[in-house]
Amino acid sequence: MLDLWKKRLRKHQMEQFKYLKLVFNDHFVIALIFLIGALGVGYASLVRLVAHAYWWGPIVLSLIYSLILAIGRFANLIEAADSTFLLPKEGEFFHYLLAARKYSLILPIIVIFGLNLAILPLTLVLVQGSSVWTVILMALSTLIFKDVLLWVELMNCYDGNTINTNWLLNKSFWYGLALLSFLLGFYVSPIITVVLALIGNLWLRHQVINYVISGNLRFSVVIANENARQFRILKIYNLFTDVPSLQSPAKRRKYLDPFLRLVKPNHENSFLYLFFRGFLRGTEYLGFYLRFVIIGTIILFFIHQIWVGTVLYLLFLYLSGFQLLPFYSQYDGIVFTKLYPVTSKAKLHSFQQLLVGLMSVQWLIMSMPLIINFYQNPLVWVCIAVGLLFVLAFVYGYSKTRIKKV
Amino acid sequence: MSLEINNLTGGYAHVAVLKNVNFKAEDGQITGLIGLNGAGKSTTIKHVIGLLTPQKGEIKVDGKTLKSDRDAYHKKIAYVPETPVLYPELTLREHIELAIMAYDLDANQTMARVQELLKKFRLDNKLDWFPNNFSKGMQQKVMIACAFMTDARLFIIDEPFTGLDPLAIHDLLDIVEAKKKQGAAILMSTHILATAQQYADRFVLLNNGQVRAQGSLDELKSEFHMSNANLDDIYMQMTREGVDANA
Repeated sequence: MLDLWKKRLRKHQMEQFKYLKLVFNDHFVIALIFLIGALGVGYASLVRLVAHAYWWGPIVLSLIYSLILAIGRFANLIEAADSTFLLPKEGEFFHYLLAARKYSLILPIIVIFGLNLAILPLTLVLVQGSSVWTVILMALSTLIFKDVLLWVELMNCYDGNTINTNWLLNKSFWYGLALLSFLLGFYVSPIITVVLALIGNLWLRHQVINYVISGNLRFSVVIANENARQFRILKIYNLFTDVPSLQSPAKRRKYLDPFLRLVKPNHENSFLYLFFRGFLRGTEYLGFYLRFVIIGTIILFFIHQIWVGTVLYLLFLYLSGFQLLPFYSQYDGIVFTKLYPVTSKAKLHSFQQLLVGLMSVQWLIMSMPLIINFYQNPLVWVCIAVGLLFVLAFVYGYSKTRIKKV
Repeated sequence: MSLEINNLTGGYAHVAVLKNVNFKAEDGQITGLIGLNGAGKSTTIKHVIGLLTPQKGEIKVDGKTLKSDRDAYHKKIAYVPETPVLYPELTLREHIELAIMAYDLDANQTMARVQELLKKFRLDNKLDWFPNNFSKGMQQKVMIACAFMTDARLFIIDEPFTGLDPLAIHDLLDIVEAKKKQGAAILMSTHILATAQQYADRFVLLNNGQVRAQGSLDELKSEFHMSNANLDDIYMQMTREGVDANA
């Protein structure tokens, strides 16, 4: 059973690694660096703004700690087929789950350590008489409570009958207890928090074996929970890349239908009809496009040198055009796209129409901050004209050769 | 003569799955393409619709080849794949509209025709839904409706009876029958021999990528010297031959 866990874990980690590599792509890392920088500056000014302790400080901090406690779930990597193939091995599953629980602790430990480090300055300011030791003890208690929650999740995999009071195996109860002890810790003494956490933890650990032995593994519940957990992770990855096992479902977005009427339904426009709907209702390309437009426009507002602004302006136009290019072959996997008696010239023409429409809208929006910032400088009109020429050259020159290469 | 396959050799990359296949699907007839899993039914169909390029031989639909006029060729074909494939972002109505645009059909006339089909399949109240979320059988019905609303000369249906409920199978056969009366050719690949025997006019028996026999049931009976046999018996006889030949 432990071998099975190790094998699954390796496979799982490979997969996570593969996706994380895609998530932390160049664009995102750059955006992330800016974001962290901005957050850091904001946080620093917030700490300065708070300046001294308030009576509500401990409440805010206790709530933050309770939120930290919620990070990281019990990852058991159980698969649907297990309930059929491994049913005879049910007894040994406990060892598998123990190993899984241990693994599930790693992420919370890292997160709790990091976030406590981040929260340290705020605590020192916000709570009267607090010291570094307060934060250390709080971090320790959070860890102990997290351990409890993971035990609860493991025990909930079984339908044992040694603990008759249901709420003791309810996570909400433990969250409540944790919140209460955090409050006591901040208002009175952090020692209380540690002691309460330890009592809870030891009591629960004492119950585990008997409880598990007295019950059966609830395969269907465990499988459903694990699937839901994986789905949540994949959904996040899906924001950055295409997750094959997760068909990003199309959204109807009825409110966008007026735009769709811009396309005249005739034979020549067959592919434009398809592309435009696919673009507006799909989750992938529209998201990327909007992100580029919004982030680009915001950044341009803060640029006060015209040549830097122009370079970024063209860069954002290029990036959003470039990431749209693969959309051309989005539907090639669907047989009918190949069977339609529509010439490939008409298909390319349709795609270019979509591209020129989207890029012109972006050009129009992103020209606003340039005009607002530099309206006194006549050069700005040249920049904007260059932008439009760039869009036309991209769509009718560059994109054609790019698509042929693909 | 709607479909004519002459000396077709082909398959995936350099592996020849089909070896020198010859057969015709006549107008106003249902031709059953019969064979075991892996006999080459789907490969044949992929060649006909143009997803695969023949290594040798030629395929004509109404006298046209894919090479000579791609779009005219495709206009003459309607295809229902074995597993439904749909555009995730289009509603049922939009699937129909797209097909109307792509095949350059008359919108009002076709819409009326397709309404009838949808009513038959009890899909007429789901026009604004995404068919990608339908059950497999319902998706298959969408595919059938989209194919049979066209004026194609050749209808190709790959394994039509899998996933459909008995009522839908009957409805499909009615629709096929109607197209047949209008003079279209129908090519249907299947394992369900009893139904095939009942409805198809001619059969093409594929084995190991080759046409083992073809003709009406009577012709097959005399070829296999089994005067009282049904299609099932003949089919079993053919597979036994295959095993003997390999032994």
